[in-house]
Amino acid sequence: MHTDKTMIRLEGLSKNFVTTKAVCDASLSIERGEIRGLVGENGSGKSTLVSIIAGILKPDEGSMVLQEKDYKPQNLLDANNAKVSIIVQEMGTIKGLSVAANLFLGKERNFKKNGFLSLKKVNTEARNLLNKYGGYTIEPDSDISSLSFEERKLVEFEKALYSDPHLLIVDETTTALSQDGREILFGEMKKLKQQDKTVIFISHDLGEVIECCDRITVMKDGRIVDTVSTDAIDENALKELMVGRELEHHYYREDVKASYKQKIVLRVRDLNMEGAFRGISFDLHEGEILGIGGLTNCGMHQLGKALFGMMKHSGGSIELPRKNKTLKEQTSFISSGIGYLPKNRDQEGLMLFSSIKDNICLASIDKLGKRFFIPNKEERKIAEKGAKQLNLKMSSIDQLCMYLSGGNKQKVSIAKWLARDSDILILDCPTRGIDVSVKASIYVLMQQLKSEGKSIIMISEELPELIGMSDRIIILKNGEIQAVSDRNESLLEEDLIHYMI
Amino acid sequence: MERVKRLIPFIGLFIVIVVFGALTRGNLVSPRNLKLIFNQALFLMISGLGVTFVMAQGSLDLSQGSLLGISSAMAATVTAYNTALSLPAALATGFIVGLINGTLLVKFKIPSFIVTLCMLFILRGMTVFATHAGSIPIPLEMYNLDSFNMKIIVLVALIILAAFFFNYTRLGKYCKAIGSGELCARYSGVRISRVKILAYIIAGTLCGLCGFLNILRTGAADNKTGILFEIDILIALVIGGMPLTGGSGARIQSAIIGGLILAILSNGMILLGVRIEIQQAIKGIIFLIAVYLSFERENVVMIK
Repeated sequence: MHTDKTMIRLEGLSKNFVTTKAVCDASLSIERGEIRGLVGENGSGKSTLVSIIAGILKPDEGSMVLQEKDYKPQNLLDANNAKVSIIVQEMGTIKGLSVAANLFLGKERNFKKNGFLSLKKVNTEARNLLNKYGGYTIEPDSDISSLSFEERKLVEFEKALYSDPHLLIVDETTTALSQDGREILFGEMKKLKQQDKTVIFISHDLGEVIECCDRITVMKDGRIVDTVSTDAIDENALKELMVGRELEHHYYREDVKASYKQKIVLRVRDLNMEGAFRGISFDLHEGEILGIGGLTNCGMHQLGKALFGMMKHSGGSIELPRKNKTLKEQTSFISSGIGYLPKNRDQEGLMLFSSIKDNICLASIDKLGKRFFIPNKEERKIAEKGAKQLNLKMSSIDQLCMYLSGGNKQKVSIAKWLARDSDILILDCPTRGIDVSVKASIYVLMQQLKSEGKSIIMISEELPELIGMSDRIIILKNGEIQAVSDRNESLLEEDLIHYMI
Repeated sequence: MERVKRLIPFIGLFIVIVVFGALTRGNLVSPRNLKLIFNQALFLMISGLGVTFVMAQGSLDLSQGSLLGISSAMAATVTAYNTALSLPAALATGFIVGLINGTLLVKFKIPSFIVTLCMLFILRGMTVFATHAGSIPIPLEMYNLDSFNMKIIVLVALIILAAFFFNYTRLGKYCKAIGSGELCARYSGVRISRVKILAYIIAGTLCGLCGFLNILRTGAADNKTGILFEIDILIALVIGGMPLTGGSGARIQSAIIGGLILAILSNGMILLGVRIEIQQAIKGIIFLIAVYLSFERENVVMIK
């Protein structure tokens, strides 16, 4: 009956965000009755690619053909009408609506009775649907936000299946699911395959991907590296494809041995935060670069915020042994010499519509001037010094930050804490979304700070820079420390990856 | 372009003086009328100075109109016991209302315009109650206190103080930082709640002062005192170049230039015999134009 076995064909898809090429010239063809795995490191473009297919993002270039027809979805609904559904990585449910309302969002027409929406019909249908996939304990009329993360994922999954998709995209859903949830999900995926429908499956669990997919497409840096059949590949070979062999050594640290003083500047003991991390203990030494790595949702970003006092931990302690102080109040973290470079630079790190001067001085205002009076001269001096130290490209320190490039913005965000002369810097993804030359200058700066005896905690999703810059690396998985690895010459990404996944 | 934008309020002031000066054949700048304008502008400027700290954070204070009413009523009520209590009563009323506004905003995270709008209604009700829906006269001997010289001195002193705090202290810098990026300010160690509450206290207290000056001038506190005053302050500040989003573009001069422009505009229209309804319509249109000119459209970040 089907003359063509192809479900969807992508031709030369590209998508740029402001500073980065998220997807670059991606061409791909996926067949009917196929479960296709999509793997790659963080930031390799998987989510962007499937977002384009699902109509959430529009490509800058390229075209798609779905079931032999031109396919140009304008939004999620368009895609749904073309029988494409997605279960997204981040939350796809709407808070404040009931479970049933979430399930049948956009399909309320089907439950009309005398021109009104029949809640009874909605809830009965929802009940049936929930039972079908094992959600016996979920009440259709309860508020979606009262559900656990896993239950919400299940609701999303049922919602996606309800629209009878011919192409289902499952983006990193399994990490939220327990074994039972996974079995149900895989079972349904197999059923779709038998009905000659197609599934695109994204997961960091490579074993899982190999087990349930027919073929796997590997992405790296926005490009499609290869598509392999699961019969012919094992986990290690897949990892190697993901990481790629060429590793740039030149701009990282030259020294191959860990080097730091014995003095402990920050002592963290048994730190907990519900839903984020558990039992985190480590010491940070003077002049040490401590790397923290893992997958995006391993809890490391929350850990960074907790170490800066911006998120409250629910147990454990953060101490400064040298000052004999336990840190609790948020402002005491800053006054004790801790600085924090947020991952969300444009909101948390910068005032975009303020000048470079105002931004650099912001964290130091309480240190400036005498009593009340803060002279302009003093502010300008500090700002000029910071701008020079980081070699900012600008017309003057009065320039608004919004007109700076991503790399220069990042420099301003760092300069703020250098101006305050912070002893401990927590850098969350310091090189995210910036070009190679600025990256290199940030690495140089880190080494310089290290030699001045400052201590750095670098949280990063990129293993090469963790390996290249850190004295020690802590790997987090599901909120717990999996491994601590000292700096050494022979450390490879492959050694660390299996602790993360 | 930025420079030109900054000049717009001054150009506006120049235009209203020239246009109304010509239309009224010089009556606008007669000594007697200048005094009238000064008295009108005085309240706008003093309250505007306070509200500047609030608007710099990107918040609004819409309770000012009724606050003028209730602080006038309080100031007038206590004169029955002791005239010396009048000023402290007015200031205390403003201080307390500011504290409540700020606290509600911070603790319950209700948007500022809602909090202060509710306060506007609550305080108006209280004003009507306190004045028994009429007015409270003050003792005759207090009339003498209303001197032009005193008011000039108070105004100049307040402008210097406000400019100092706004430009050269933590408070002013933090206010602007919150307007520019609250999250970033928080991540840089700014105690957001404290700064927000303090700004409302300043705005409230200065409005309280206006309440006291008001009963000196009019000789009584009326239940209608201050109606639409909050809107006049808002219009004056925006005409004076205050961005609605607050932030680093906020300047203390907005209160002064804006207050003068609006006072001259109102006064000029009265001199020309423009009907009150039409005056309001004209104010509305001018407000709209001022917002259009000041609103930085590129500020609206599109995040996809």
